[in-house]
Amino acid sequence: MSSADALPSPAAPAPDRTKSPDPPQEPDESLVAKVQSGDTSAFDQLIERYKGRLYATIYHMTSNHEDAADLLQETLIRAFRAMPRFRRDARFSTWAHRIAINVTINHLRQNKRRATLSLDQMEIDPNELDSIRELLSEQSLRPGEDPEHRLANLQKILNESIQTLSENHRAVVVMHSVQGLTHAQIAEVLGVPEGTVKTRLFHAHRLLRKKLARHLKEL
Amino acid sequence: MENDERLLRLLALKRCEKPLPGSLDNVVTEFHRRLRHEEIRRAQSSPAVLWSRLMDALLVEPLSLLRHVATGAAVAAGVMIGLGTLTLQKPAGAIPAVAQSSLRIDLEPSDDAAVRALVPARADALSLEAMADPDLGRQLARPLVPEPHAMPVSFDEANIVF
Repeated sequence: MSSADALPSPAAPAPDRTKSPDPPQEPDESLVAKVQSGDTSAFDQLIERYKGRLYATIYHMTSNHEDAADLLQETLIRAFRAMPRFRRDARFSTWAHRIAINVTINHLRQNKRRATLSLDQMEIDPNELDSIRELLSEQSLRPGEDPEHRLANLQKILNESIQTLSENHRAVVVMHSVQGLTHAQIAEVLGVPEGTVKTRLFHAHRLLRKKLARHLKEL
Repeated sequence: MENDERLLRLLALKRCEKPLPGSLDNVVTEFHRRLRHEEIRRAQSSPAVLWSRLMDALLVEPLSLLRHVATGAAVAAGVMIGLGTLTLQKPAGAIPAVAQSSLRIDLEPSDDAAVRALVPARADALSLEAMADPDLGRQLARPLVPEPHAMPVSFDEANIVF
């Protein structure tokens, strides 16, 4: 298991999965043009390029791997169907993320009435454990408590708190605080003004601080 | 450490989560399988095509759809305002065109019975009013004289022919 296995963020470059140097990648614009002229195999390359980032976005919003896999497929199918109408003045990655966010928000709204949350057991990348341990101060650990156990509990609580946010608040939190996108990038993905992104983020953070107040003090 | 910074560090932990092993291995294969399945389904059901197009518009290009809806709403509002303005321009005390007509119906005395037969309730009421009010009774009892330019009227049971 390596750090390359961790869910990538849209802002980060695609993980290097091979030992040998990669051949120069065909630009997105060229692949998009091929798809629009009928070459569906070019879309396969776009899928390979962005599946991890799209999956991460969807997963962080749903906290459910099954839903994330299903919604990723729905995103890809809708994107493929809409390719003839895709204007090349926008970046494909931004456009695809917008579809993923809309598909996920739609899914979350449709399933709002579900009383119980299906939170998956999180797996942590061991390479990240050192930096994670830094977060957990000695004072935060009860006598004899395993840091990893403590972390798992924290993550569970964190995910439950994120799930209580509205879909719009959740989307900005995931894209900004988890995936590291800038306000401008989020505004472009969501198709809203940058000020709206900042406002949503402010409210979302305030709600999360309130819900996690006790746990944040223990950190 | 401020709570803000703690929260951001806690949220950053989610970056370390990883997908289930193998969950992203067959994305392309699964995509083509679903695409074929959907094409078959679309071919079999035309309402599904319309629904899918609507969902595409909602989920892929919501802003474009919103623009179309806003344009439609603006046009509809414009038409409604236009109609409203035309209605308001009519004088408040305007008399309906029918009421302004110079058409008059003059009855022969012999027609009185026919009128009473057609509107018995009203006729009875008039009789009672006439009994109560001598002036009104006299007016009703006065024979009706046709005016020189009156249009001829004939009654054919329930059908009135001019």
